[in-house]
Amino acid sequence: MKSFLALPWVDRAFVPVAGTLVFLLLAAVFFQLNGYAPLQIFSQMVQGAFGNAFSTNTTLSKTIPILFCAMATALPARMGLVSVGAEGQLYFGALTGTAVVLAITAAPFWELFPAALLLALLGGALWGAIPGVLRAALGVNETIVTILMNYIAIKIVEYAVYGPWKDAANLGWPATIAFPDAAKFPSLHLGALSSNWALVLAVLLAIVLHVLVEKSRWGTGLSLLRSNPRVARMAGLSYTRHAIAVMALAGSLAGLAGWVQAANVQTHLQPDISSGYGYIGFLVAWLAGQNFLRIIPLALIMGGLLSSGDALQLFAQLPFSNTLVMQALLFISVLGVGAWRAKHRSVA
Amino acid sequence: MKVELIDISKRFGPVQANDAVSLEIGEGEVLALLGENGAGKSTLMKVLYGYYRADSGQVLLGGREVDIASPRDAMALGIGMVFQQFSVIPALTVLDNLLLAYPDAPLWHGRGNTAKVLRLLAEFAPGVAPQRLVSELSVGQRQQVELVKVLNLDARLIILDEPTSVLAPEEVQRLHAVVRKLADTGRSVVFITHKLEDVRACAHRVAVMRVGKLVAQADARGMDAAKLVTLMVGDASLKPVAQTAPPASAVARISLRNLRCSTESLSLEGIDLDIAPGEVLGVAGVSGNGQDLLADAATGMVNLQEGDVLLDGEVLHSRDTRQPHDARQGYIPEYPLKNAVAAEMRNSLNLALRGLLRLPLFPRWAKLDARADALMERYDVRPRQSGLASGRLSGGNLQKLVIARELSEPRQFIVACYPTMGLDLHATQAVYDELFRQAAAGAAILWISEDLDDLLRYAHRIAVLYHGRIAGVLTAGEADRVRLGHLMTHGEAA
Repeated sequence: MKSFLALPWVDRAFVPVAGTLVFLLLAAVFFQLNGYAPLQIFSQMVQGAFGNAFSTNTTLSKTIPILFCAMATALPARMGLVSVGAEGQLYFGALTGTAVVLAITAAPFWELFPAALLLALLGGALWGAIPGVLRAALGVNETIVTILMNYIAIKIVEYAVYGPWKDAANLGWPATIAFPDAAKFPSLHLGALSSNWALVLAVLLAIVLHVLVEKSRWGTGLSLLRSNPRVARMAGLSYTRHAIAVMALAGSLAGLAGWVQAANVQTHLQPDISSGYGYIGFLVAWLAGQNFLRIIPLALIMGGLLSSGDALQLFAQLPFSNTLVMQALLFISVLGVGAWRAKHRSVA
Repeated sequence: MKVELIDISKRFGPVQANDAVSLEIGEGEVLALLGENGAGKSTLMKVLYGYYRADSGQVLLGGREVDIASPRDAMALGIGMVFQQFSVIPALTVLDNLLLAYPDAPLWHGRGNTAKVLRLLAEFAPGVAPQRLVSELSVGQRQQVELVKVLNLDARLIILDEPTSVLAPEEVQRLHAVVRKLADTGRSVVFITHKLEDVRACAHRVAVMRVGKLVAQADARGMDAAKLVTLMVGDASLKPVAQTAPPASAVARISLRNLRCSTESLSLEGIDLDIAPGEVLGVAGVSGNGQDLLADAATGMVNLQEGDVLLDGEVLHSRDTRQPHDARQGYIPEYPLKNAVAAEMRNSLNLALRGLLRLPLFPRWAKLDARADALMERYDVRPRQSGLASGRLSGGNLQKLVIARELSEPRQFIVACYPTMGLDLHATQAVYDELFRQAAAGAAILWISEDLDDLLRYAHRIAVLYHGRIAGVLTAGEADRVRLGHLMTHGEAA
């Protein structure tokens, strides 16, 4: 048994496989206790997430912001910064991108889209850089600052869409004008599946970041800063500069999520452009152990869980809060198994 | 209480740390446990203390076999250990620390307990006032509090893990007296050490370990130093260090000019020192007088409030610019695990750290591994695994790793803080050889040490640091223990 567990591929697959099994077991117990047949619910959940083109498309559209937000969390974590700020960066990126749309609404795609995307990136970067600066210059805890700044960003967006940016034609509804197609990520069709190019961008970025973080001098520098900032100084790395740059870069990733949510999903700037994707991304990043490749499938699973929640609510009359319970169970199972494994491996 | 260890074996991955070691410790006996770095001394004692589980072997207490699964079990059986890293809480008073560690501590302490806890403090550490904060105590005093904590648990066997490596000379003598007193009151003591003076001052018996095995045991009383050295290092005799000639040039290679900087507890108040090419400038002082801050300031690791560091007349560090990564300087800081390596990262990376910024964006890691293998071979870092996380190395091997990184390339300016701490005699000689080779090639060396004998033997000049300032600089000719001691304790010449 021990030697089997020591095989490299078994070792690597142990936590995901055992974690999933524990999760399914816990979820089955949960449904059983609530008077549902677990197997039936599971099959409905899979149907709801990937059963047909419509549900798969829904899943994909939820996967995109989760993927960006998970990357926005994982990147600072590589240098030891715990950021919970993807939600706020998403909102602020959407806000700054929207400013471009409102300023040059009639511009053609090749002007409007890059300009809006760039501003969304910069907005997210700014929202990320502020806690980075506070951390580096004053030693203020970045976790607290990022959480608090989430509320500020959401409030600013609310102010904009209830106030100066509200489209009068909307009557009472707090939202801007509908965005022209020229502001959106171009759509992408593959058979019955449809999504947009943000999905491709997100996956590509995850792969590029994976290579950079795992193989490059830069990624090694980040690990060094996480392991021992003092020693990093002996290597010529500045904690201050890295903290600010990494937080800004992470913020810009969340800003991308903001733009795809505002432009492609809602097609307006409005108060609820994110269904907590920043926080779900945080969970995904930590479930994946800050590994950018592992983030991709986990984001897809999380997206599936969310869209199956919608489906269960509609068809099985299950309250949506079940989805939250499922998320929590998944988190507990994978982290619990991971911790158990780490403890027993170090003893072995 | 007689303790017998029988055939203890313990393996960590590829390393056989203990290989069927049998050892006896008699009642009221002080056993000095000697051996090179990584010989397995600490491992053996941590097995006895329940910190590690042995792979095989038995422990007998008073002839009866016992199972020690945790330090808690060990303490219940009367076995206590004082580690190199203390576990006293600096923000609390001595009394609070002792009460916290008292067995079955109640939620609320009455007067009765206080008296009980303090009885042993008065006996073994009469100079330590119970109401003082631990943060105000010297290292030696903290160690005494740590020891009393262990004694309060009715320890009959006390294990001291290299207790003198952190102490100033007069504190060492105080510790020796305490150890003798422990033995006189019927307690047994295991004294892990590298230092011959510890053995001569208080050991009854010596046991020597090498590469996981117990290789020699002997009665220590009346044994002469030469025999002890032979016991410790085997047959290889120590070659004398080739001391470099005093520098010919009067022009400074490195100048510290009016360095001022501060931390919460201490500040440097205008340090002025010039070191010529090839000169070894020793810095003596009782620990806690600003040694670490001086080293950090001279190497640009901390912000300077005033002053600058000049290398061949050019500014290397000042208020505005700091270049702690400059390849012309080498720095061996105190406490390598905390100050000189990234514990979670592989040895090859820790060795390549100085040139990290000069690597291409995608470095050829295999090349770095190969380079690391060669360096670890040359500097005898064990285990010789370039992929191992540096935090897994033992203290002495970690020190060698840092020395390999800092001294394997030619430098102009070297700051070495206690560079031989935790090293056995062989490794110590090797470090001095490297340092003096750098000096011979023209490097200026700032060498911070508490070992007056070594300073007197090897340094060209000795500066004494006292309360963050230079109390005096003596040349090799005029320095002696009395003069240095006076400067170290009074801050001025006699």
